Amino acid sequence: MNVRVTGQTQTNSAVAYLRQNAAGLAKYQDQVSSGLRVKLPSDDPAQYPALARARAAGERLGAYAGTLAAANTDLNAGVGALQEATSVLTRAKQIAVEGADAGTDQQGATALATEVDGLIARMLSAANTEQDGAYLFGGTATGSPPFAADAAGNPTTITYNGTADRGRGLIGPGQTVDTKYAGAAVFQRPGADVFQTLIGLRDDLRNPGAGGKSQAINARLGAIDAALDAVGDTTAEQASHLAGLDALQGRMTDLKLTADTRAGEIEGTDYFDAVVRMRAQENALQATMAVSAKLLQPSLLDFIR
Amino acid sequence: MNAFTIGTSALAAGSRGLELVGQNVANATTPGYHRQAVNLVSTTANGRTGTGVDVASITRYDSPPARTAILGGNATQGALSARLAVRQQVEASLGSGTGGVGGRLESFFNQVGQLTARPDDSAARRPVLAAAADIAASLNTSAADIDHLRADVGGQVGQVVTEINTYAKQIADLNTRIAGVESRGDQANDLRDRRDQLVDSLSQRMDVRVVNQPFGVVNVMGTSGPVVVGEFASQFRAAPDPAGNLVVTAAGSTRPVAVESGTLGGLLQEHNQDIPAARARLDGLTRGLVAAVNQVQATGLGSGGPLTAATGTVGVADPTAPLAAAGLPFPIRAGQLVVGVTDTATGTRTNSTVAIDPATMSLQDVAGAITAATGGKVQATVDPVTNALRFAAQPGSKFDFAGRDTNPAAGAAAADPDTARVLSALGVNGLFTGSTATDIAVRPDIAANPGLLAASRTGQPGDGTNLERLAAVRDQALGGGRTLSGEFTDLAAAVGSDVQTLGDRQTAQAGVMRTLAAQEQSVAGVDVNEELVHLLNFQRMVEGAAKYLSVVNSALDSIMNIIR
Repeated sequence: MNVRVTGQTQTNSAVAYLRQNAAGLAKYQDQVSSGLRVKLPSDDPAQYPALARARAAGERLGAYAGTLAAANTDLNAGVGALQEATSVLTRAKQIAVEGADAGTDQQGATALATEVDGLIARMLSAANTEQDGAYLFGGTATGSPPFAADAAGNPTTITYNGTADRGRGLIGPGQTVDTKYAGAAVFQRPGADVFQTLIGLRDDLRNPGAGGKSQAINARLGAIDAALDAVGDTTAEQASHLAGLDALQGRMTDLKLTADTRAGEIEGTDYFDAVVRMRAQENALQATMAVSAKLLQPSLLDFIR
Repeated sequence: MNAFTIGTSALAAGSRGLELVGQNVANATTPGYHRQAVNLVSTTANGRTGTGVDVASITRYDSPPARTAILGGNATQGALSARLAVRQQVEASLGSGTGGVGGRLESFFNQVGQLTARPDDSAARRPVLAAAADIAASLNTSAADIDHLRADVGGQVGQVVTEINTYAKQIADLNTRIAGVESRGDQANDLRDRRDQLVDSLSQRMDVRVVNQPFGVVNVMGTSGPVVVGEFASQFRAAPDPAGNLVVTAAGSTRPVAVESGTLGGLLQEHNQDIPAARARLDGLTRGLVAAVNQVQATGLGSGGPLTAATGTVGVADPTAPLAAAGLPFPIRAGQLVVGVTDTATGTRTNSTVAIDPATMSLQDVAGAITAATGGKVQATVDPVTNALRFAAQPGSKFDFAGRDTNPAAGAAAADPDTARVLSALGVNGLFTGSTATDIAVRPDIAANPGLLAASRTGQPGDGTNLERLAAVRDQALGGGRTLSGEFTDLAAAVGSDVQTLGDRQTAQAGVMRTLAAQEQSVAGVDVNEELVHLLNFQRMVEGAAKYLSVVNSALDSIMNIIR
């Protein structure tokens, strides 16, 4: 037990405690004012890696939201183009039924053939749909129109210039979605070639063969149905991807929220805690000041008269 | 009759006491002052009759155990404070927030992921390259800050050594003066106070202990040798060794002086160990990033498709020495490289496989093997100036390392066209140049022409599969089993943990030092109230002696009156 307490001892401890309490007060004041508890790794080294992970996860999920939105746009445009193709084929089927009818004379059939030429052009335009400057049905060859006709107005063959690979976007860790389909697998499936079917129908209407136009055109009806099925398959596939993307987008939003919340929980100030602690530090500082002022005053000098 | 002698001795002793009280009160707040007190003894003549009072000696109150503990504590405190300050600066240099290296890494891979949605959009490549440049810039900045910090710490070491030399000289000088005074039997209390203060300052800078010698002289000993012996002071100097580490030696000796703690010890540890360690981890992270990203970039295709020429950015010291001994920043493994050669006129493509063994093959051998394997369509040479590998396609040919299937197709594409990792090791067609945090940069021609960024593995504009591989780099476990950003986070957290631990230890040590100081003060410190009590005491003594003399005087007067 120190029996001698000198002025210097009192001064030193008063200064030390004033400093300590003022530093504590400043720390909590900073936490309350900035709203951040962890600004540097040293503020909480144990939690810092978790914070960095949560922040990175939040930003990463935010970035996937961008690719998801782009995939969504592409697939929506793709479905739109395929619906147009379906309506072209549906009209072609009506024309075929009308052309096969014995009541349609050659003049009427020629008029229908001209309409089919228009349908071929519409189909070509649907298959060459562009979204933001990228062709949707050329696979990864997005830079040039995937389908080319050998002649404008009255084409006899349509060539596919795209790739067999599909273009895709990254929508999650190691998770991709196909957005740019290979047109050949949609419009030119073996046995269900959309363009050849339409061209064949037109030619049958314009120049019926020896067997008569009804027989030839009736044979085309089966091919039109097969083409409709092919286009319908892809439409269904893209539509189901779209539905999947919607679900994924919802999940990503939830996950991002969770990650952001986690980051916020770690780095953010717990206001109740911080304010209460700040208050306690303030009291401690005031008490230290009061005690210092009180203790440093009395001296024997006051009593020597 | 010695009544007068008694009275005057009391007056003299009392006023000496008053003087000392005055000196004590005057120095009540002087740092390092030790309170003093008179020791009074009664004097006698012939051992029988009292002749008054005398000041036998003056006691200088001190507490050697507390002082020894304070000297040790000072050294610990000095080392902790020095290291804490440096670690805090390292923490700041790493830039652990979103603008720092970790945030930039994440941002780069996020941009790469976003580009997979539009690999054909040349404008969308700019943000990826900008993010890559940001990573390089933030690594450069962190490395430069840490290097500056190390140079600063080196400068501080020099200053501290100079201060130590000054203190040692002053202590030796005071030793001489104290011995001079005390060998005559006097007391040099105020000189001792000054010397204790100097030893105190010295102990904050290096760990020392004090050995008392006759006549008030002290020797000051460091961990591995004397600092002050009597009137001789050692002089130290700090100089870099061949490895760049600072070594402290005493004048006239080449033997390193071990400094365990104190400001100097803390600064030396930071300068020689901790700062280089942080810097090395940053370089390791950079190497991992450059190797992984460059390998993906080199084995993909830009929007321009195959190349007509490519030059490596990494040169070897000797193009005829085996590659394993060439001191390359990234090691080459035994494996193979697939070179795809496209005929620009016909579009046909052939794949040539070159076996590479770094243990036996030199860069010249590799260049020769590539030229031979491609039938001379791709001329691989060694640049005579930079000793880097150069590829040049013959007219009518182009080459790539994407490992695509041949044209016409003859099977499957190569899963890994460069199992030897020779492309990233030699910096051929990479995204980054350099291999350390200081020299990493985005390859200038890619920065100028974003089309060179290898987004695809087929050369088709809508193919982003190489970007997918690039984005996957972020989840790859590199050295130490951690991902790139995991490694950075771990580095930042380790430094942060150091800062916190050092801060806690410093606070605890400050508490210990306060206790020790209070202990020493309880013996050596001046309590003004106590001194005032002594003051009253000596006042009474002087007043009493004066009164006594006056009474003795009156008594003598009375006796003299009888004669009159």
